[in-house]
Amino acid sequence: MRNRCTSVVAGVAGVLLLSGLAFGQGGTPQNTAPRSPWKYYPEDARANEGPGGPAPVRDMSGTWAGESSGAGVKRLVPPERNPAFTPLGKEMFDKNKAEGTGVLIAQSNDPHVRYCDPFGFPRNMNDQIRSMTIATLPTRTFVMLKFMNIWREIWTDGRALPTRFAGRGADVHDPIYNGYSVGRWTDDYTFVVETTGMAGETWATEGGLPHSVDAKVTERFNRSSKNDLSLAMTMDDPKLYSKPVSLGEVNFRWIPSQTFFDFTYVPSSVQMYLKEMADPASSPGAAR
Amino acid sequence: MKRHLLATGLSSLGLLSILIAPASAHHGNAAYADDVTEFKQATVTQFAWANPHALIYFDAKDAQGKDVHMVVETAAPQALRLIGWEKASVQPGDIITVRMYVSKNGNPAGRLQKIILADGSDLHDTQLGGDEGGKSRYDPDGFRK
Amino acid sequence: MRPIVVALVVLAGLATVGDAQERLTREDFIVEGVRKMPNPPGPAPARDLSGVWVGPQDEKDDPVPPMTPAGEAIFKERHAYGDATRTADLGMSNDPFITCDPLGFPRNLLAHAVSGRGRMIFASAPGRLLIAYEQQRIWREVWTDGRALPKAVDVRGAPESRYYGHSVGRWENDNTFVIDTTGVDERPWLNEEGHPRSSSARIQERYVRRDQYNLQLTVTIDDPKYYTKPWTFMRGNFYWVLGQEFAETFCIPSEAIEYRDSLARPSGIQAR
Repeated sequence: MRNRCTSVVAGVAGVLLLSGLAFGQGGTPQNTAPRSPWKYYPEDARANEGPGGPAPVRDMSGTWAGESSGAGVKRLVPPERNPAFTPLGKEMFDKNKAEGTGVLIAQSNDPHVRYCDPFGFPRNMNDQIRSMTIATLPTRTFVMLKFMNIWREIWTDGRALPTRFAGRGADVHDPIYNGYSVGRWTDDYTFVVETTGMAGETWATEGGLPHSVDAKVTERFNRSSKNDLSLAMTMDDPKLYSKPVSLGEVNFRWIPSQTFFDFTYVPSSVQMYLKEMADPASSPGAAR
Repeated sequence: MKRHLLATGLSSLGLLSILIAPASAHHGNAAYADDVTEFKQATVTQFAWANPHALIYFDAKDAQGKDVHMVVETAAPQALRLIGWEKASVQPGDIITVRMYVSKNGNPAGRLQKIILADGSDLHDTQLGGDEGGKSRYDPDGFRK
Repeated sequence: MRPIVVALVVLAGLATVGDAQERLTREDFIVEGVRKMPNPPGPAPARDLSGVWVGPQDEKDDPVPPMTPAGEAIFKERHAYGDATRTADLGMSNDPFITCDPLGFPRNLLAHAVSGRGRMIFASAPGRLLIAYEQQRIWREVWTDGRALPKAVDVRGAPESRYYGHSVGRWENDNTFVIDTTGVDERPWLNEEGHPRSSSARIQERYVRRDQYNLQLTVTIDDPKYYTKPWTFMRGNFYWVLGQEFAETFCIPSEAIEYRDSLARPSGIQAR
């Protein structure tokens, strides 16, 4: 088995339709092994350089490679780390113990890290955003995330966002992990999505930025060429932040084979990892 | 699977060679020693190809010739695939060499630097997979995180 | 007198707050929670599965056939929730869904915990049909570009097995879409009872659009590694969803674990 991807000879964009032969011997270098259409080859995605042609009009459909995909995607701009909190926002932020410098996994209270809870939106668009597939129907657009195989729904039928998430009444909507999203094309290459109603137990970012259920997140997707899609996100949440917060910018590249790695996150595996590794590693004298 | 506390400390681990190198801080890896410990002729008992981190369980002998049952963590599958790993890269029963940063608190666990397979090829960790030791990173072109 | 009393109870139960709300009766529903469309169905559009569907209803499944010794060995280690009769240990369930592990395919078709009311919607991307499910908010990818299924998984150079497998699909005629799947990860259970399925199993779905509002699904499994013969895992009907929307339905692991640890176990409910 090779130990470096860099010596792979760049493949062409086309994919051989092989039947996925079983390789009994180990150590077959990946760059000379027959290609399976069922596998993602990051070197092939990297070899697909340049714009690839003009952007199709009002169309983002397909499978995209994002951050840390091996596709050579331009580095993202991370979310703000020190936004302008209100006192309530700071209080909530201080309670969120994100795994990072000075905070081990065993000390974190990130519900995703400790339990494998879904990220929810907007974190699922700025954390582990290695690949997504976009599909368009007449009145809605789906963003189908590879991480945990979770999909989001963006309504494009002109409806208004809900405004009430508490109390009783026919117009009250339950807060949900993905929030309620509406979207529209503002020009032929820019699709703007607004989302609100995200359940408050989720974090807006890996760094633990909180959000209220009334937060409104705006995403601007821009397709600048056949191969390039960018996404910029901001969050407006006056209860917790005295001005809008940048949630960063993510870049995507078209994947010629339209295939990506499977990317599961399984709660029982997380519990096993915490029990076997993370928690004992953080506990002086803890026996396994 | 039974686990044995490493009562005699890090120096008892073997079959060993310990490489001393400057410490390099990294979040989450502060729990692990600053130098590499090597286990030769390690028998893989389980390979958990899973998030958040893949785990390799293996049996080896310490410097006193006693059996130790270890678990070593490496990166997540989506990161490892970018540097040559596959779900089938390691199977129970494989005899490999494991180079790892063991846990400071004496637990039979640690973070991988790299494994060397029977055919002589190697597979690295990401965060601590650099051949320079000292918890250096392994970061070939095209790979991030 | 009793039928009138029952009808009144039903009406009272279904009545909603507000003068503008319509009063619904049992006849307004296909099954509990599934509204009937106000007009009769038109003919099935050709080669078109689009829309939001809910089901399965009228489920008629064949019994699971005898297993091979390998299948039996796995089945023996699985303890279904609520079934204390088959095991020699404490009778505690080790169903991975208790901690919200992905259901996997084809168990997700059984619309776990929302019997008869599991929704799905079909979409497309280049070379694929996509299916988005209500349960756990997951999606599957079905390749329609003519490729063959992988011959093997989880060996060096081959694709990995996946919780939802590897799928190809094609139109058999104007009303029937057939999906073949293999390469499923073996960890998820086949069904609530805990039957196994191997990564080499071939699972076929046949979607027959009978008319505008009815989609019949038949799922067959051929898994010689664990079963002595193929069988029909599921036959059921999916109905067109009035309003074409559905809720977000997640199994949240932290909530599931809290339930297990703070209620189920102390109460003696069998959840490991």
